[in-house]
Amino acid sequence: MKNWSIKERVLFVALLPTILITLSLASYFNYTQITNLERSLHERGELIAKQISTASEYGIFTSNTEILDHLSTQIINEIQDIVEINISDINGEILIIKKNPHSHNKTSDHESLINYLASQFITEDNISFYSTITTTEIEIDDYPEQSSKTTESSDSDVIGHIKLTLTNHLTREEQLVSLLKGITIPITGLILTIFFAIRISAGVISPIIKLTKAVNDIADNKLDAQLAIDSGGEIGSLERGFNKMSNEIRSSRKTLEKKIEQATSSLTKTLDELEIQNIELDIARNHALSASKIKSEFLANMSHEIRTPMNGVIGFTDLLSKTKINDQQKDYIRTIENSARNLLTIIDDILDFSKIESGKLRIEDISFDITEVMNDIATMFTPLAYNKNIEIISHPLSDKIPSLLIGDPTRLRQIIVNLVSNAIKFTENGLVSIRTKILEKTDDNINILFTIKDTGIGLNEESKQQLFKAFTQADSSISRRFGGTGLGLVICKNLIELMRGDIGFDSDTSTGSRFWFSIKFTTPEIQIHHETLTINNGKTALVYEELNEAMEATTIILKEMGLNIFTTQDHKLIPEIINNNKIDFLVLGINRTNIKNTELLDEISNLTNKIDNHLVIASTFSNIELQSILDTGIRNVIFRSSPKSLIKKKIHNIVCGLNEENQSENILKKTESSRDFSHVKALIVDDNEINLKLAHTILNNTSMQVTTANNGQDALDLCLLEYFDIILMDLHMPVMNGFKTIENLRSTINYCTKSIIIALTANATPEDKLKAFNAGVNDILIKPFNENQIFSILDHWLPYSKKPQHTATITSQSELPGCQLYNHKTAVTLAGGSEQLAYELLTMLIADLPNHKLKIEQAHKLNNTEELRQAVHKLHGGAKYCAAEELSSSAGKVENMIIKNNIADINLELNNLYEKIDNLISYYHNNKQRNSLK
Amino acid sequence: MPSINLLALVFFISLSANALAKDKSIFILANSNTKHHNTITQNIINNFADSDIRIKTSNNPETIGNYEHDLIITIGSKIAKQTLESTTTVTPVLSLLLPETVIDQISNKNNRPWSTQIIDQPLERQLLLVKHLLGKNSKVGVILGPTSIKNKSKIELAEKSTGMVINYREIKSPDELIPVLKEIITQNDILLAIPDPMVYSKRTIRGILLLTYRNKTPVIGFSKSYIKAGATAGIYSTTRQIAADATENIKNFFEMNKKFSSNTYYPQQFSVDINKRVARAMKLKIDSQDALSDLIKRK
Repeated sequence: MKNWSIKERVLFVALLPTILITLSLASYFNYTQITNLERSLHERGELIAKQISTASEYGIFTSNTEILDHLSTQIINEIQDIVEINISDINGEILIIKKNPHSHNKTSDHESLINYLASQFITEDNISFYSTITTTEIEIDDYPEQSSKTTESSDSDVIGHIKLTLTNHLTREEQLVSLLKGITIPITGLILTIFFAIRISAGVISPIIKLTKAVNDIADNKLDAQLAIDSGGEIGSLERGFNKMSNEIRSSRKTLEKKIEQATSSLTKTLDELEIQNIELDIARNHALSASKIKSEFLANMSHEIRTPMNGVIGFTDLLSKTKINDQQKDYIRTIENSARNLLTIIDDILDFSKIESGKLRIEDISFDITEVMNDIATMFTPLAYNKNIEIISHPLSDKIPSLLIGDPTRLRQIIVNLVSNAIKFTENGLVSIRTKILEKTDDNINILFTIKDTGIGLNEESKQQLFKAFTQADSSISRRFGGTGLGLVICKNLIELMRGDIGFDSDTSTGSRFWFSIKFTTPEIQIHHETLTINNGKTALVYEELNEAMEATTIILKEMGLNIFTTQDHKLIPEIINNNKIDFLVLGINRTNIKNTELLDEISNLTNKIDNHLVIASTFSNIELQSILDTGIRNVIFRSSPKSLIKKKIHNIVCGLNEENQSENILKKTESSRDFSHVKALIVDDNEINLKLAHTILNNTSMQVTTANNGQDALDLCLLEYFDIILMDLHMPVMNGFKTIENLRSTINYCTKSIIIALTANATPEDKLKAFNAGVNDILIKPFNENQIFSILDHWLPYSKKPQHTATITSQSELPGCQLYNHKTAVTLAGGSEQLAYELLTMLIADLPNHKLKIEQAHKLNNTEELRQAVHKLHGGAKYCAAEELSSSAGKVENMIIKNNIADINLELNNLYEKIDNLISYYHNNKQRNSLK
Repeated sequence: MPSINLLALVFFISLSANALAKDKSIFILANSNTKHHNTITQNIINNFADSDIRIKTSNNPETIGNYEHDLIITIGSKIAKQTLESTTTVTPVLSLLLPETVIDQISNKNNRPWSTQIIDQPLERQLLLVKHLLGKNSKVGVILGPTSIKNKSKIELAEKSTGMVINYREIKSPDELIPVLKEIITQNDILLAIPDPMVYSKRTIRGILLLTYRNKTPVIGFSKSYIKAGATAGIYSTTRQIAADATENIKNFFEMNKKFSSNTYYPQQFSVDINKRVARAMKLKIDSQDALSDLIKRK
């Protein structure tokens, strides 16, 4: 109804009441008329019957059937709808039955239509009426004796009966006629009403429609719309008003158009000027972008170019420090090294910031051991902290945190390093602690909160506002006092955000700062299961730690091992506790401030002499300091920065009485270089003479047989002539870069197709790393590298060249049956003695095996020999270093066949290779638990 | 209480004074619900209004014993029968408005002096009317029922005394009425109606009158109502005339020292009535009704 036009509304209002009233009245009158006709039929029937009965009285009285017959005939002739008259006497004896001979043919004189309708819709029914014939009494009241004697019951008045049968046909016809009239008349009336309503409404609606059309014309911008004024009254006024309004609008429009023209003209001028400015701005922007790009490239190049010589500076400084020099010279060298490292840090920060700014920084998603990251950091910062005489406590990771996580370990390490570095930098005394906490853990994910707390200078409110802003430090004086670029926290924040984490801090100038960040890592299905060392026979340990944080860290380890614990922060109470309680094991912490406290050391020595089962946790990294502790007579000493697993192992061995002789001395031995790589042949490839010389010097010190090359092509040529166990290859070189060289080495016939290749790069982006690994490198060494890093790499990849490792936690191993499939002993040896690493390598290999298989299958299917060879080669290398001997052997055979172009028989061997792959996967899953994989 | 006793005493003295003043008393028993009875009673009372006859009325014969009367007048057959058969009084009774045929049906148990003033007109008086209407040679048809058959001998005597031909037929059941009637009216010139409940009941009168009318046979009725209903003519006594006859008979009773002069009194005063419309339909030439009445009364 809302969308009805005026015409529809007017007609609706005009016609609806009329239609309703007409229909109501028509229904009422038709019903009344039909009912009346029906009632009239019954009344007439009763009346006729009564009249016949009265008229029949004499005939009955005199038993004169002729009279009755005559009477009936006469009545039937007069009244057409009588069907039959039946007259009987008091005894029920029928005196006469008179039927109407025309009863079935009788039709009214109405039109044929009515007859047709009547024949269609009317069912003829006969209605019978009954009446009794009684005598008419005449009272002879003036001869009462006569009357009284003749009084009888009323029944005796009845002298006969009348049955009158009437047809309702005529009545029905009349009803039908009445109904037709009753319908026809209202319909006619309605039609007339509609006709007049339309006519009358047209007079009102037509001008409104015209008006509406004119309004629409105006709305459609046809402003010359005018209405012919042919109506009177309000509509006429409206039409005149509309015309006036139309004229006004037209006039206003013209004025407006004139103004718009003027404004447009002005605007056009302005736009032209703006266009010119835009072009100028665009040129300026392009210049700026170009400059920015050049700046970024320059920064990147500069960083790279600076890192390369810095590699030489640091490397040779390190080497120089190991030569015979006096103390002053040592101090100078240390200063040079520190300055170089600071400069390197600044360069790294600038490089990272530049990458973040340009959006080129990518976050990796690789499997890594978080325990290793945290241990490395603790180890890394211990010297720095202890040199400042502040304590550094790295709280052990909860056993509930899976060792293997998927994320970017390099960036995670960078963030923690940055925050810990800052904490140490801004702390003059007290301690720095590193904590981890699980915020949320599901089957697939874990959200870890990392907290770095210090007791440093803290931040005031103003400084807090400046934090996380590039190139700003909390205080301008800080730059002067502590140095730094002011990019560290900004980089951290950006890295954390890239890893979809949060970072925040609390700080107070009186208590120090607490920086925290949380990152959500994916947890891989396959995990490294650390050896669980527990002591279950109710042993009791007494822990002495002065610092709360140190106490907390130590007791966590002991509790995890199942020991009962007594604690004290006052060393003077230790004897009393020992005397009053059964103490099986003594753990004594010497914090940084007490490391030279001879009185305390003597006291501890006395205690350790009394109690064999003891462990002293010393906050030191210095061999001299360690030696001075050992000199007091204390035997079992461990660095506070030692990994939790190592501490547990030591405690376990001590408490359980396992033979671990000269444990503390072993620590000392660890620091001694005792490698013998005299049988190892190494090739160093680098275009930078300094780096080449540095690497050569370091390797040469190990008695390694070292050869150098200035570019990839030279290296390739050398490899055609002789075999090298290990090749250190710079990735960015002239003539032939590292990537191409490695690919050639791996894919062409030479002596070094299976050599260990270590990539050297100053800018290891994830893309570069991937590219390098795809080319066939075994590992990557980031410039600037030092002696230790090179040794670490050598230890890892050339373990068979090392002497037995003093820190090895390898327990007795035995080969399992079926060792041809997986030789655990060899695997651990190849993993540098790290059982964990061996397991991890195997896990990675297993995870990659389906891909290897797929690539081999696809290459074979496409008859692409080169791709097939590369795929098999990669599998061969991986299997070999994981000590998957059968698989390695099979892959080697296939590779040889390819190299010798013996493709005809390759199918059989390939099937053998696939079988070995499947066997190894099954073996792995059947022995998934680490212990079973020994 | 003393005031009530005083009123009772005054009433008793008053009654005693009347009794002493009027030593003749009449007790009229009539059905007060019947108009004719009331009219007759009232006329009698009126007729004796100035006399020394004390008149008391009642509709219950049982109340007769409460008073002493010189004469009991009953009006109607029912009251007469109750009085004569149920009461123990020996007071003379004059019964008015009694059909002649009913007298035999009432037993006068106490054998008290009883006279009747019958309602029926003498047959000769009616034949005289016929004679004046149709002539003396006309044949008169009569239908007798179980009650009126008792008049059979009177009919025969009247036939002889008047010299007129009277054909009578007896019916014993109502079913016989129409055939007998048809026969009578076709065989005679006029039908003389003699009251009989079976023949001339209020139900049959209309049929009889219609039949005779169709047959153009005049009917002599026995009451004014009958004539009014369609009888051609009739002789009857009006209530006033009955009361007047009764007044005369009462006076005679007291004059004759409280004895009746006759056991049966016929109506002395009567009226002759003609239904002129019917008479015209019957094509009867009738002089004026008054003249006819005088003529009959003179005889």
